[in-house]
Amino acid sequence: MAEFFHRRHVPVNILCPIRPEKIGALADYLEDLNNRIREKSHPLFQQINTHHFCRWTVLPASKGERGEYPAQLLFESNIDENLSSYVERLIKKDKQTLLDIYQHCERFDASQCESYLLDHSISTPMYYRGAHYHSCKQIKRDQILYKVLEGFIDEKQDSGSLIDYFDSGLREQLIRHVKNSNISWPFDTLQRQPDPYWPMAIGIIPVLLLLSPILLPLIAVWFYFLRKHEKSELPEVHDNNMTERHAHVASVTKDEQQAVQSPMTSVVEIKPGLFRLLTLKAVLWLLNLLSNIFYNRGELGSINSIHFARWIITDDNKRLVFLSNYDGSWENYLGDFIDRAAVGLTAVWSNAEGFPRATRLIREGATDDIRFKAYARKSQTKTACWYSAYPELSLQNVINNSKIRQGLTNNMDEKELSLWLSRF
Amino acid sequence: MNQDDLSDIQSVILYAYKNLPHASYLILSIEHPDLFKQWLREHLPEVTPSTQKDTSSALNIAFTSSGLENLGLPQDTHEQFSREFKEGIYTEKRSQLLGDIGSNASEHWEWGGKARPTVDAILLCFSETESGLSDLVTHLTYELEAYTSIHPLTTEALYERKEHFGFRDGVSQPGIKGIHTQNSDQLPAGEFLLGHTSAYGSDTPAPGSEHDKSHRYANFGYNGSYLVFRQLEQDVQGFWRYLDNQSSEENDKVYLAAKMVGRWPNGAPLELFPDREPEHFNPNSANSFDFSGDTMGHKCPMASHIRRTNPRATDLGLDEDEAVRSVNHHRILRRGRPYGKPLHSKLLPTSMLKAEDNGETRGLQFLCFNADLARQFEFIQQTWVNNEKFNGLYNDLDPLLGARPRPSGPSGDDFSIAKKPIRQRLKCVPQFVTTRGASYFFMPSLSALKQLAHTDTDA
Repeated sequence: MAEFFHRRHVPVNILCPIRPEKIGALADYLEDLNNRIREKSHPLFQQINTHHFCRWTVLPASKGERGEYPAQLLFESNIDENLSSYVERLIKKDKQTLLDIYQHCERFDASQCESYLLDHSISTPMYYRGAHYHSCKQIKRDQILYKVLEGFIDEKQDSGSLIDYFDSGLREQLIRHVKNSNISWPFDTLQRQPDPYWPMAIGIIPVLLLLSPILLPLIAVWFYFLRKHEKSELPEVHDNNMTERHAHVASVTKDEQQAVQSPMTSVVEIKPGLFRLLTLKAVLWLLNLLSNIFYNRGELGSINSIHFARWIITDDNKRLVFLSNYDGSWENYLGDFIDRAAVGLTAVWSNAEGFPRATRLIREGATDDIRFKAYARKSQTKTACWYSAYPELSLQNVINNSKIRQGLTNNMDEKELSLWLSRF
Repeated sequence: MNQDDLSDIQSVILYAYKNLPHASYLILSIEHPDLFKQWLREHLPEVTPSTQKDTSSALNIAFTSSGLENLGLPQDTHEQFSREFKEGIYTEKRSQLLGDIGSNASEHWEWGGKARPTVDAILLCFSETESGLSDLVTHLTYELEAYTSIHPLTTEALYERKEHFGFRDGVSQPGIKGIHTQNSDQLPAGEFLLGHTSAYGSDTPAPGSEHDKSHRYANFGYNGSYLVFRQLEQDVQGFWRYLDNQSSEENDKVYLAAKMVGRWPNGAPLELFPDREPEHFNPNSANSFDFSGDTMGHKCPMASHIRRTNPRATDLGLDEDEAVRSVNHHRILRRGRPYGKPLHSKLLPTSMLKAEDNGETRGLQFLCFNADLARQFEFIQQTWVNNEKFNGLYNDLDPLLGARPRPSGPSGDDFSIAKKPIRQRLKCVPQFVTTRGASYFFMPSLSALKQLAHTDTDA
């Protein structure tokens, strides 16, 4: 399967327990590192061109319904190569920073840095990528191309010398300018397009039909148990300590939307019992499949503001962690979830503790706007240190820039040409 | 909505008092809460409920978070107010999101913010005549000045209900189901009133709704609404001078201004009249468009003011109804009025292009009501107005309201006008509007005012 989907963007999660006496020192170090990322070129971030977004988050020690959780350090990254060559690259570029971070973790041995990181890597059952098959290098180059062309159009418009009385002449002018500026990459890059989904969709029908004698009874049994669970589970506890809740929200909103993009980290406990865990895993598997074959063109349904998002399962299948890198405001992000993706979110999070009550796995739940937002805020953890390789670009910008580049070499009819010209 | 609710809701939330053209707002800092409560107790009958129409004057009152504390609202009720209201409009994070940075920052404000006397309350005074208003304000000031400090704010009714840049204002306004039955654009009451059902189908949280009936502040928030007040100074000469420099043709300058607004000076929408201002147009058609026929923004630019403060069916990912439903989660009831003398008495663009500034300050006393500050007012300001990436744009803030240039990230000072075959782009658009003062208030129902004034005791 993995071969077939040709995962250009690889998700990285490295989760390590923190030495209890070092938690404070690590938090301070990450805060300082976070300031340094923004201030100047840092070898661990700016000088590596294979990662798009990455972050370190301290999951604080906590006591939940299902037991105690030690403090852990979670590293998330979204990369264009495989994990081992990425880790090798990080160590080669800036081993010292890694040592400075991981010396706060349990059983860390500076001489075994590489294997320590690889050993603590965990899998990603559900991964969503906004700009499929666009490497970080390509995204940055596409922005340079956009700037060059934008500047050219502005300059020619100011001097009144833009030949704009027919579309194809205009395009030729722009192509000539790119070539004259000694920019060659748009002409020798072949953009990998996501595979069309219909062969997969057609292929799956006979398989489903063939398996239906087994699948249908299984689903019926599963549904029976689901309803039983939903009816017997206690409704979520309404948190009445508003003052504490509001203080928590104020602290997690601090790192939101410094400019264009924001990270979100959310940690919840999975409901106890094998039934909920298996349901969750099946739902994540299905969503991952859908995001690979359908939602691979820059939009998750009608949401076009998510660069990368994932769910991972941690702590011996007891906790569910959601990580995302999105554009715009949190209110917009969560509003989109409620208006446009409530079904998928409810299918996942209704298997976790505290989520607004759902019925039939996918109904209600996230549509209860006030409780859903309160739940999302409550589960949120501060993102200690966060890096974006292209902080000034929205996902829509990334996709638009790519289409501009592709339009320099593609053959276009009149309508496509007029659409292409509207991209500036 | 039943009659009991209507007689409980303060009138300005539901009605703009179009028949009362003169208004003043008194920003209060309460020095002696007990004396103020006594005053409130005595003047409760003068506070205008929604059932009282055809009056020649009106009075409404609202409080800040600190004002409610100051008047003794207990912690268990107070903590149930929304986080945004309790924190106030000028926290560091909120200032960044709302664009109150640089010259808009709260340290430069004339009122409100941290450094000045704490704002506790606001009295909204309206009258049919100028003398009536002056009598009302004089009377209130006389009574209150012994135990409150008062910062009065004036308003100015402008020619043909325009705002200072010269454009007809308040053209598009949502209505409430069951109340504004004539409005084509009606939303559930819970979008604007606490304790009522919102568009999501859940009840908008109202402080005191979980108290026992015996609690003195039971249902305190019900029928109340959050009021956002922002004093926005407009650089009218700067606006027209910038446009004057963009073209040599007078028509073209006004055309560019209309592109920025999304409407012509008389209120006619570009969506219906893309090429020139119609001499006559039916005001009933002022809102009969939803942008669905203009997906590229060739008529009304994506970045224009009216498109980004109410995108209607712009969202291409959704069908028209869904898009409008999603946008309707972010609507506000606007009750603003201009202040200061206009640059030209009839606000004619052609005259304002050449007018010399007489040193007067002018702008808009922006007021709006909503039930969820984060989802409505703040959303509009953060996600639409001050978002350079709005709907696929790169570097365009709201041409009128945007706070620019931004100190970090994209500068936000472009204005893109979609055209065939290729766009026109205005560069280095300066900031035309500056925040001069702002505060969040809560406007309680009349029964909550009674609870607050302790009419049941002799305290």
